[in-house]
Amino acid sequence: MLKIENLTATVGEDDETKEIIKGLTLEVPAGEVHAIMGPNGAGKSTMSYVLTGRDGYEVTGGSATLNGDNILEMEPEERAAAGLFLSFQYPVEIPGVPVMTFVRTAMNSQRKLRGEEEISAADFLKKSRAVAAKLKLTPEMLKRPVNVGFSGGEKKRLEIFQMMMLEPGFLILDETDSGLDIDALRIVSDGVNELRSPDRGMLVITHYQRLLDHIQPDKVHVLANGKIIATGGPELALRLEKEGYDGVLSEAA
Amino acid sequence: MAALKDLFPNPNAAELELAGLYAGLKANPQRERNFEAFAQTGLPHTRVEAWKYSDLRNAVQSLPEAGVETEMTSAFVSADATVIEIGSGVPKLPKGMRVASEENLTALGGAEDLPVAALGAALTRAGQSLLIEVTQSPEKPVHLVFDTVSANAFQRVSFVVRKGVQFSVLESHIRSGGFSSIVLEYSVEAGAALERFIYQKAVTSAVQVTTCIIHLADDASLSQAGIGFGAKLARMETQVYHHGENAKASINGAYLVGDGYHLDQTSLVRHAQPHCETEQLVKGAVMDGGRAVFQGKFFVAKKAQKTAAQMAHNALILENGGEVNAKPELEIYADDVECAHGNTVGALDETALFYMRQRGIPETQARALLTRAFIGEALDDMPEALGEILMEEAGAWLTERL
Repeated sequence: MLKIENLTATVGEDDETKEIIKGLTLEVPAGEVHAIMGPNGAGKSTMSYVLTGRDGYEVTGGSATLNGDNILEMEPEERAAAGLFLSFQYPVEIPGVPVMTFVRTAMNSQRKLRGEEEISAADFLKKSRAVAAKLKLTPEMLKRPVNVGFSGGEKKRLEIFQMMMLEPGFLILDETDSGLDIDALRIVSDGVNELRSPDRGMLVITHYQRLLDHIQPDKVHVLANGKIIATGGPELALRLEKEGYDGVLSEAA
Repeated sequence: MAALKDLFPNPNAAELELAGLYAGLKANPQRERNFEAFAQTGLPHTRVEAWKYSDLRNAVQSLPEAGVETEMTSAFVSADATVIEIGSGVPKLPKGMRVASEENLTALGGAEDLPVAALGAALTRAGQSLLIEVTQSPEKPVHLVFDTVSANAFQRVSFVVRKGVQFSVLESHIRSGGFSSIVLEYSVEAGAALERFIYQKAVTSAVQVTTCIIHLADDASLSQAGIGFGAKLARMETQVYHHGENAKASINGAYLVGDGYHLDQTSLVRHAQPHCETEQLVKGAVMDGGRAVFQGKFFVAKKAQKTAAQMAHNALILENGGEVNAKPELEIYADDVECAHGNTVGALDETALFYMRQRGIPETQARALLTRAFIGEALDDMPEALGEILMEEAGAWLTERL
């Protein structure tokens, strides 16, 4: 499904240019959930921005494909239409654009890019009501501008709302657990688990083991200094939680 | 007349032609006062402080001969309102309104500070100026449509809104070429409420000046909002006088200025009595080759204690080469007031754009959506149906250009 081979990428321009991703290789087959863990500054967020095509991040080598298609050549919106969804570590405020307008515009834009019909207003409303109820989002919240005045937990729930509405083929969750209390963590994880399916892949970026208690990964990768230095099963996350990164880092060195 | 001509320091062809137009009109002492007030400045240029960003003299070097270039219609045609065309005879007015005078030549108050308005008032021919009394709230809003096609248009409409009356006006200022100076006056009596909604659009050869002077008595209120797209040079000027206590004014506006267009939104609010409130929010966006001017001034007299006045202007530069000139000013002589102004000029938030694109919204659409939402805040207080008409127009404009 998602296949990254020997990817290198830089951030910044001219004298400020810095190589952050230094030969990253990773494969997430359809139906699997992989976790990426790693110390601060390892390149976890950079990896998610490089894969989704944010300006200011330049790929200098290697490849990344989704279902065989080279995503690195696509515009960010084309990558979204191809099924790539990033749940942001810090969801962005969009003043003046209500949630419902935003999600419907996004859904129809993706459908248009894929050459599909727009969703009818009635179908959209029905679906959004059902999803909102699961995530305990009130209709009033969905009328408010995207993320404006939302608490940290509400913002993350809104990310999951968008995910469940858009039903992307591949999810990248960038520290979705940060800023969540126990209840919110459960709601968010339930949402994510509901999306697990044989034809969907997920990459869960996290600092902490606790999210992986709720979203159980098939594999755990350790990202350090711009590349994957260790891969294992869920037990690897437990070991990291107990020992910290030092042990794994010294083994790799 | 020779004396008048001498008043122009160094007349250009247009000023001589304007003097010629004046000479051809029926003499009248008020008309003469208005024209003299204009002649003291002539067509204002960048060395006239109030016009430092809008060089009218340069924009009108000689008077145009023909007006019509393209058919243009106002977005307000779809609004549920009673249309009044200014300049085509004595209009039929709805119940509660009457024409008090078909030729209102009264000298314009403060004309020396408003040379172009004084010119407009001086050059109105019979049928081009009206004094209208509003004694009862009309059932529907009134939609004023001004001359859109004449090479030179000078029109004036003055309203007296009687005590306690609610009066809602839509103004369409559309020009398909030529030079125009339109003057509006609203005298809003005690407890009366004026709603003024404005649509301005013109071609890049039109030079258009609209001046509106609003007087608010005790407990009177003004709620103003609108959208403007500019012209070769368009100036939409609003002057508000808080003459009474507890008067309230909200003067908001949105603008979108494209390549080849210039839009100047200038306002002056004078607080003369205690306990008055003014709120102003102007938001707009400019493209490469477009220029927007915002000049806002709040004057608070020594006597006007407890004045509460807030001014904000926020602009987006959508492309390199767009230009925004802003001059917010407070001049306060009272010591117990709450007054503030804020001004920002910036670009669209790149993080928000990426977030939207990551969700599948193409860049141009994301930019249009963000810009529309940005300027839309200035129209939030409008009645929903009217606000939507203007927002739809803004959306179409952005989609076409981004």
